[in-house]
Amino acid sequence: MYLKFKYIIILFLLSLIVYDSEAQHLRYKDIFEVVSSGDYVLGYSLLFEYQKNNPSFANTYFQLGLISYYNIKKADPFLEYKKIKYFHYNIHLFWSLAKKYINDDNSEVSRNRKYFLNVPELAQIKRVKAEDVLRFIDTHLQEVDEYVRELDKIYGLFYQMVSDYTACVDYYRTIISHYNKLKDLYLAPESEIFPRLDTLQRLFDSTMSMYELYKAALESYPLKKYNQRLVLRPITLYRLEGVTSTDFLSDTLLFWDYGQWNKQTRKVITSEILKLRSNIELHFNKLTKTENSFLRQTKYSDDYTGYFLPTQILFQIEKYDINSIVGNILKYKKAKTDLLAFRLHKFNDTTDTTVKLVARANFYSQEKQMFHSLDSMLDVIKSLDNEVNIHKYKDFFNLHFSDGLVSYITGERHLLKDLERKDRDHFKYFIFRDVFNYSFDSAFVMYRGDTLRLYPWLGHIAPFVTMDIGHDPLYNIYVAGVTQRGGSWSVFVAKVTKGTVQWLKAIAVEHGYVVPIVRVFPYTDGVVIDVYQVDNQGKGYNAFYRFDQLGSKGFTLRSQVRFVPRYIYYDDINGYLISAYKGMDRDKWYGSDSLVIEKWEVGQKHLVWRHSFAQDGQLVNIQRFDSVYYAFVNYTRFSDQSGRAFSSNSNSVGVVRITESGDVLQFRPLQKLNGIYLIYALKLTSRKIDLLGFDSAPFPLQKRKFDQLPQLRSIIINKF
Amino acid sequence: MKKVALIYTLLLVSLFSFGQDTVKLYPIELPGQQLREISISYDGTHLLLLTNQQDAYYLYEYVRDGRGNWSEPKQIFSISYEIQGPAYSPGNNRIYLAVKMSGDFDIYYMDRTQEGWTDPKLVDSTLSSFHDERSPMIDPQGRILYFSRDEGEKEPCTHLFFSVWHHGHWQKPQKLVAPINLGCEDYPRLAVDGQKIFFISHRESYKSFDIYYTKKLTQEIYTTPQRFGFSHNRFDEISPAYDPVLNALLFVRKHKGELKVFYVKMNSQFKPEPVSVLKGKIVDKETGQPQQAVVSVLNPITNSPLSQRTTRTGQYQLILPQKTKYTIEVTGRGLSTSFLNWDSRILDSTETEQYNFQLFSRVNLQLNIFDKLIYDRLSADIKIIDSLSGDSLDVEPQELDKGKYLIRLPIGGYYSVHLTKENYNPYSFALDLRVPILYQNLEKDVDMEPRLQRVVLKVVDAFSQRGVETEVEVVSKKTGARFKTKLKTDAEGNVVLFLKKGDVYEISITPRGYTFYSQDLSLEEDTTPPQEIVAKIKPLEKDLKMQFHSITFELNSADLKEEAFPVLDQLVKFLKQNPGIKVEISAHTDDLGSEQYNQKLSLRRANAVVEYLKEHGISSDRMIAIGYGESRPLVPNDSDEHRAMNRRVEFKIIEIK
Repeated sequence: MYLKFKYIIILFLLSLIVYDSEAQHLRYKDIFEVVSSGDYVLGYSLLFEYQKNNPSFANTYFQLGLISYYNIKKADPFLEYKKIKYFHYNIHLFWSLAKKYINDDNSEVSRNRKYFLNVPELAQIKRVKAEDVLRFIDTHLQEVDEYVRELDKIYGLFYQMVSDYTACVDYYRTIISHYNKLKDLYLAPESEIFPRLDTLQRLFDSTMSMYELYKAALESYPLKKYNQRLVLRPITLYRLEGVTSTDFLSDTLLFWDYGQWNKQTRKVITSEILKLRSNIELHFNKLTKTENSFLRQTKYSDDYTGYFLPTQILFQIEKYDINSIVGNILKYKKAKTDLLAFRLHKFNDTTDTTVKLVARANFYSQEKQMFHSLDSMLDVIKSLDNEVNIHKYKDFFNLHFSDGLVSYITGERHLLKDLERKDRDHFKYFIFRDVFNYSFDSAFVMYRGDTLRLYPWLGHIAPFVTMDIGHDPLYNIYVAGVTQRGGSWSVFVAKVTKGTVQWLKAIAVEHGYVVPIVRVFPYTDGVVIDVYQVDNQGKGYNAFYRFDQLGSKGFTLRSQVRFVPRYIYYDDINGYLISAYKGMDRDKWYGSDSLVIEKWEVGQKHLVWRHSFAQDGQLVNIQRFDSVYYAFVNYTRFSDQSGRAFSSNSNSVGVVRITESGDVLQFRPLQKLNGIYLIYALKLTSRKIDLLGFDSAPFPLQKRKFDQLPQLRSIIINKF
Repeated sequence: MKKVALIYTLLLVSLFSFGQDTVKLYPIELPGQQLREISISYDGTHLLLLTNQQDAYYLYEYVRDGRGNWSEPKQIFSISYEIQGPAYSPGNNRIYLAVKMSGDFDIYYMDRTQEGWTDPKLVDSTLSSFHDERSPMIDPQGRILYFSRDEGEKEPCTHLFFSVWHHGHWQKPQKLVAPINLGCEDYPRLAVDGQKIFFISHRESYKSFDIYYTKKLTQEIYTTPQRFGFSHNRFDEISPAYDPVLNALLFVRKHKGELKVFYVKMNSQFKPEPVSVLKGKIVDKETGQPQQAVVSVLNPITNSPLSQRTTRTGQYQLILPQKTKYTIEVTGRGLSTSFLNWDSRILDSTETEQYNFQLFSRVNLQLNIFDKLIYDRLSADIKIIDSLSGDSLDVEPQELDKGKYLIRLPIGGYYSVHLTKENYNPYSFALDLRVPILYQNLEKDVDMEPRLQRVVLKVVDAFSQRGVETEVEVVSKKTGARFKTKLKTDAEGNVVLFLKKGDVYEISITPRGYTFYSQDLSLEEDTTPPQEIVAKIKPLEKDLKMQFHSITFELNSADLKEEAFPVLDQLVKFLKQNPGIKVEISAHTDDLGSEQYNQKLSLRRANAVVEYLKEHGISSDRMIAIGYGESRPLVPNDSDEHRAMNRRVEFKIIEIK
C-alpha cells in the first residue's frame, strides 16, 4: 500500500516539476544583474518569480524592498499616491522577511555578500555584515515611514482642498443656473439667496483653510516639485467666468475668487437691495393709506394732490429690474392717488354751480384719460405677472397680494369702473342740468302771487305755462312760455336770479288763438327767444326777440321758415343769428322733415344765407370753430345740397359744415359714433369737441326719469 | 496499477483543471465564410466575428437581446486587406483592429455613425513600427491601448505592449514585463474592471498557443500569468474573449478541421470587480437630435483628460472603476460644455446609470438697452464683429420689445458687440465664447450714455444784474420728459445743465417775486447751441406789465385757442407762486372793425382769460378783466405786422401784498 502511494506521490511531484518548469530557468545572478541595471520593473517581476521557489532567500526580499524603496522615492506624491501606499505596504513586508531570514541565518549576508552591494551605502563598507544590512534596512524604513506619514498628512490636506474647491465650483454653477442675470440673483428672496451664499462661502473658506494648511504642511515637509502659489481670479463676467475647475498640480493654482464674489454680492444685496425693498414697502404702504384716505373723503377741494412718489425709488428699482412688476405697481398706485385727488376737485361736485360746463367737460375728458391710463397700467402689470417676476419680490407679494395679482387687478378694475361710472353720472347730471335744463327738483318761483315753474310743464293752464327754460353762463335762468288771458295767448319771458324773478316781459302774438311755441336761447349778455306762431293767413313763421340782462328789448326779427326752431346760436359780438328748424311738431324730435339752417345779420335784419337739407333724423346742436359752423345731426338718411345721400339702417351721427359766408362743405358721417345716439356736441377747445350720447334715444327728456337714463357716452375727437 | 493510474489522473485533472467547467461550443450562428476571430464588448451586449473568404475579410456584428440571446449576424464591414484582432471600445461605438494595408499590420479604428461604420483610420503613427502591430484592445477607461507587436525576430513572434493616452496623444509603447512576455504572446483581452487580462502565449514547454490570465496590480505590476487547464496541447487557442453575461471565456480553436468558437464557464475568482457604467445620449438641446460630441473623463486633480472619445451617434458609454472620483466633460467644437461630477462609491455589483447631456451651439444673448440717465428703454443699431477675423457677423438682432434684443451667437467665437444710436455715445463690449459655455441664456444690460451739451443758465435780476436763486424746470419738447431731479441756481444765479444732444428743451423759471421766464433751447444737429443762457427776469412791482402775443383767440371770437394754454398754465403757476399780487388782465385789438365792436370783443377776451385762470384755481378777487379795444395800440396799425403786434393780452400788476 505504501509503495502504491509512493508511486503516486512521485508521479505527482513529477507533474509539478513539469508544470513549473518555467521557474527553473531563473538564475539569481541574472536577476540581480537586471535589478542592478536599474530595470526595476522587470527585476520586480523576476524577483517575485524567484522567491516563489526560494522563499527563504533573504536577498530576494532585500532587493524587492529596495525596488519598493526606489518606487516610493520616484513616484509622484500626488499623482501616484496609491502606488506609494502600495509599495510602502510591500516594503515593510519584504524587509521584515529579509530581516527575519538574515536573523535566522547569521551567515546569510556573508554568504551572499555580493548581492548586497548594489546599494552605495553598503558598497562602501569593506566587509558588509548582517548588522550593516539590518541597519540599512531600519534606517531606510524609518525614512520611508516618515515620508509616507508626512505625505499622508499633506496628501490628505491637498485632497480635501481639491474636494472643497471642486464642490465650490459645482455649487457656484448650481447657484447661477437659477438666475439668468446677476441682477436676478440680487433680487432673489433673502431666504433663498443667503443660505446659498452661506454654503458657497463655507465651501470657499474651507478651501482656503485647507490651502493654508496644505501650504504649511509643505513648508514643514517640502515635497520636491510641489511649491505652488495661489492666485485668486476675480469673477467679472456672470455665467462666463467662475464655472470651470483648475489644474491643482500646476505651479500656480488659479482659483476663482468665490469669496470676493460672495462678498460683493452680499454687499449689493445688504446695502442696496434690502434698502430698496424697505423703500418699496414704505412707499407702498403710504400709497395705500393715501388711496384709502381719498376714497373715504367726501369733501371736494382743489387742494388735494396725489402722493408724491420720489422718482429716485423708481430709478433704484429700474437699476436692478427694468420694467419691474413692483415698479409698475408703485407707478399705478401713484397714478391712482393722482386720479383720486383729481376726482375731489370741485369740478366733480354736483352741488357746485360756479364752474362752466366746458371746464367740467375738460375735467371729465382729462379724467377719462386718467382712467384709461390706469387701465393700461393694469394691463402692463398683468403682462408682467409671471413666476420669475413675482419671485424676485416673493415676501412683498406674499404680504400684500396673498390672493394673487389677478385678484388684485380684477378688484382694481371693478373699483375704477365703479368710480368712472359715478363720475360719468355726475357729468351726465351736469349736461342735463346745464344743457337741457333738466329739472331735478321741480323748482318754481312766485311772481306776483302766481306760480312760475322752472321746468316745462304743459299740463297746467293758468296763468304761466312754462314752455322752455335756459340759463346763461352766470346761471341766471330765463323762463319762457305762454300765458292766456281772456282766451287769447301771449308769450312771456322772465329772468330768475337766485330764486327771484328779476323781470318778466310779455310779447303779443299775432294770432292769439293758436298756441305759439316758444324756445329760449340765453347768451352772455341776455336772451334771445324764438316764437313760432301763425299769422292771420294761417301761415307759420318764426319771430325772434332779444332782451338784455336788464330786460330791455333789443332786436326783433322775423323768419318765414315755418318749421319749429330746434336750435339758435346768437353771436352777440358779431351780431349774427344762426337758427335751425325742423318739422312742424314740437314733440316730434326725430322726423323726415327737411332741416333748414339760416344765418341772419341782426343789425340790418338781413338774411345772409339759408340752406335746406333732406333728413330723416334730428338736429342736435350747432358749434362754431374758427369761422365755420358745425351742425351735428342724428340721421338714418341725409342728403346734402349736391344730392349726395347718406343712409344707414340704424341711427348714425354726422356733421354739416357751413362757412361764415354760407358755403356748405362736404357732409361728414362720424363713424366713431356708430350705434350711438348723440345728444350734445360740446366744444372743449379750439381743436377738440366732446360728443355726448347714449346707446339709445333718450327723448323726450322730461318724461324719462334721470336715473333711468343709460350711461352717458363721451367721445372726444379733434376738429376735422 | 490501474488504481494508481486512476488516482494520478484524478490528481492531474484536479491540478490542471483550475477549477473550470468543461469546454463547450458557443451557441452562435456563424455566417458562411471561414471563421477567424471573435470579440465581445465590455458590457456583453455586442459581439464581433471576423471571417474571411478567399481574399476578402468580413466583420459581423451580433447584438444581444434582453433574454441573453444573440441576434443574427449582420455584416458591418468588408475589405480586401487582411484584418485581425477587432475589439470594441467601451460604449461599442468604436472598433480597434489591425489592418495590413501597407505591408504590415498596423492599428486602426472605425467609428459607428448613423449611416454605418467609417472606413478604418490609423490610430497614431507613434504606435506603428516596421513590423506588425496586432490585436489592439483599449481598456475600459479608454486610457491604455494594449496590443501585440512583432519585434522582428527570426521567427514571427509577437509580444504584448501597451501605450498610454496622455495630453491628446498616444505615448511611446512599452513592453509588458516578464513573466507576461515570456514566449510569444498575442490577443491581450481585458475584463470590464480593466484589471483582469487574458492573452494567448506560446511558451517553451507547450506546443501550442494557450490562454493565460493575469491580474494588473499597478501599471507595472501584474500577477504571474496562469495558464488555463482547458488549453489543448496540440491545437492553438486564439482570440480569447470574456463574456460578462455568462461569466465565460470564449476562444477559437480548431475542431474537426474547422475553426469553431468554444466557451468555458469561469468560477467566481475570474468575475470582474464591479464597475459603474454611465451611459446615455448627447442631444442637441434645441432640436433633440443626436449630437456628435467629445466625451472626456477628467482627472479631478489636474482636470486634464484621462480619456477622451468622440461619439458620432450621440450615444456614449463610460466604464468607471469603483471607489474613484471623476469629472465627466462633454463638449465639442462650437458646442457648449456640460460637466458631471462622478463619485463612484464601493459597489456590490456593476451598476448602470443613465445620464443624458444636452448641448447647444448658440448662446442667446439678450441685450437690454436703456438711457443711462433716465432709464428709458432705447432702440439702437447693433453690430457684431468677429474679433479674430475682423469681419462683420451676419447675425440679425431680433427686437423682442423696445430696447430688448435677442442675438444668437455661435459658440467658439470671440466677438465684439457695438451699439450705436444717434446722440448717444457708442457702446462696445467683448464677448469671448471660446471659453467653456455652460449656460445658453446670457443677459446684459447696456446703459447708453446720451451725448450731453453743457449749458450754463444764468438767471439775473433785469435791473440789478444780480444772480437770482430759483428753481428751474427743464422739459424735453420731443418726449415731454422732465428732469427728474430738482434743478436750482446757486446764489450767483447759475446752474449747469447737461442736456441731451438732439433734443429740444423748454426752460422755464418761475421765481417768487419775479416775472416768469420761458425759453426754448434747441440742441438739434443743425443748430449751434449756446454755451450760456442769460435769463433776465424783472422783479415784480406795481404797474409792471407783461405782454403775451401767444394768448390767441379764434377769429372774431372770445374762444381761446389751444396754443394759448401753455402760457396760461405758466401764468397760473406764476400767480400761485406769488399769492400776494393782484393783476389786471387786459385784451387789445387792432383797428379792424368798429370801435364798439373791438371794445366788446376785447372785454370778452379778457374775461375768457380770467375764466381760464379761475378754473385753474386762481381766486377771482385777484383779477380784473378789462377790454381796451383798439384804444391802446403799441404801434400804428399801418401794416399787418403792426396790427399783429397790437393784438395782445397784457398782464399788469396792480397790487402787491
